[in-house]
Amino acid sequence: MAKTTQPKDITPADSVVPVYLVPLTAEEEAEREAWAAEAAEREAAEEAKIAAKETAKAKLAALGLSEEEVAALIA
Amino acid sequence: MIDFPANPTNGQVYGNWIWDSSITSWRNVNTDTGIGALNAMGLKNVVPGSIVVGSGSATVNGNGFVTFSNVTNLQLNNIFSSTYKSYRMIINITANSATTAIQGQMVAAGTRSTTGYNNVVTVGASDNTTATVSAINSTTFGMCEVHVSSNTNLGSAELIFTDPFEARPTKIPHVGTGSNSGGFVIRRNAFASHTVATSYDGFYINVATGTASGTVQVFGFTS
Repeated sequence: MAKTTQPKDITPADSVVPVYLVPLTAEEEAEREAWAAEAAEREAAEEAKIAAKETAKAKLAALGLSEEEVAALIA
Repeated sequence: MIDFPANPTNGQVYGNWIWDSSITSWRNVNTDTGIGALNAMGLKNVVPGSIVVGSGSATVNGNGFVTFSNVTNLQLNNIFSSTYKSYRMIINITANSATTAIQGQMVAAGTRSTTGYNNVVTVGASDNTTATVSAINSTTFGMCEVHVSSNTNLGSAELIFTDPFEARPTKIPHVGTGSNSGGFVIRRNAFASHTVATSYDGFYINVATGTASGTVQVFGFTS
């Protein structure tokens, strides 16, 4: 998606290449929010998966399985 | 007395020495400041053509070392070209205003590609828990996640791009370091590809939430 707003040259004195500021458009802000939501959702799923694995390990240990046996079942 | 190989060719490496045929002499890679275009490691720094930020500021020194501050996004233009087939990029997050993912997109002539990212990720955490996630045909790909709850600002991503400038899929294996909500260190091993087969010359880094500060370096692998 092309930037549609006019770039503002903000090149600092010590930069060897041009640096431009292009504030995000409303559409890009919305896109960014969607990406953030997607990332948060994925992260929550990862953490839920980790929590489920820990619960499963605890239940297996409660059944009398050794640490090695639990590890062999849940790699 | 160092027993150098006979009949060396330009750029040939021997221990910490490299042969420079322009002066018919071995140069010490650690101490010889006149080493010029020779590069024993096969990696050469790339200076972007320009930088675009959505907020904050950035600066680039003569070696192509990019320092950015308080940006929502950072676009590196003209970093990929026909000069190299493969590139290494190192992103280091030194400050972030909110817990956030750091995401990437390929750029062609200033325009971001917003489809075709496939990312398979294995996550390992220092609290000895692991998880695997995959994102297929996404609009972007995640490189690392940085928390502010604890281990604040612990974020980095190291990426290898193969064929970004060729009109074929770009392969982007990468590793990311970050932290989870428990404050534990997370290491992400990921294998991304971008299947929209166009020639790309730039890369877009998105800070999903808030702003971030840090540095970016790009190197080309000598072919």
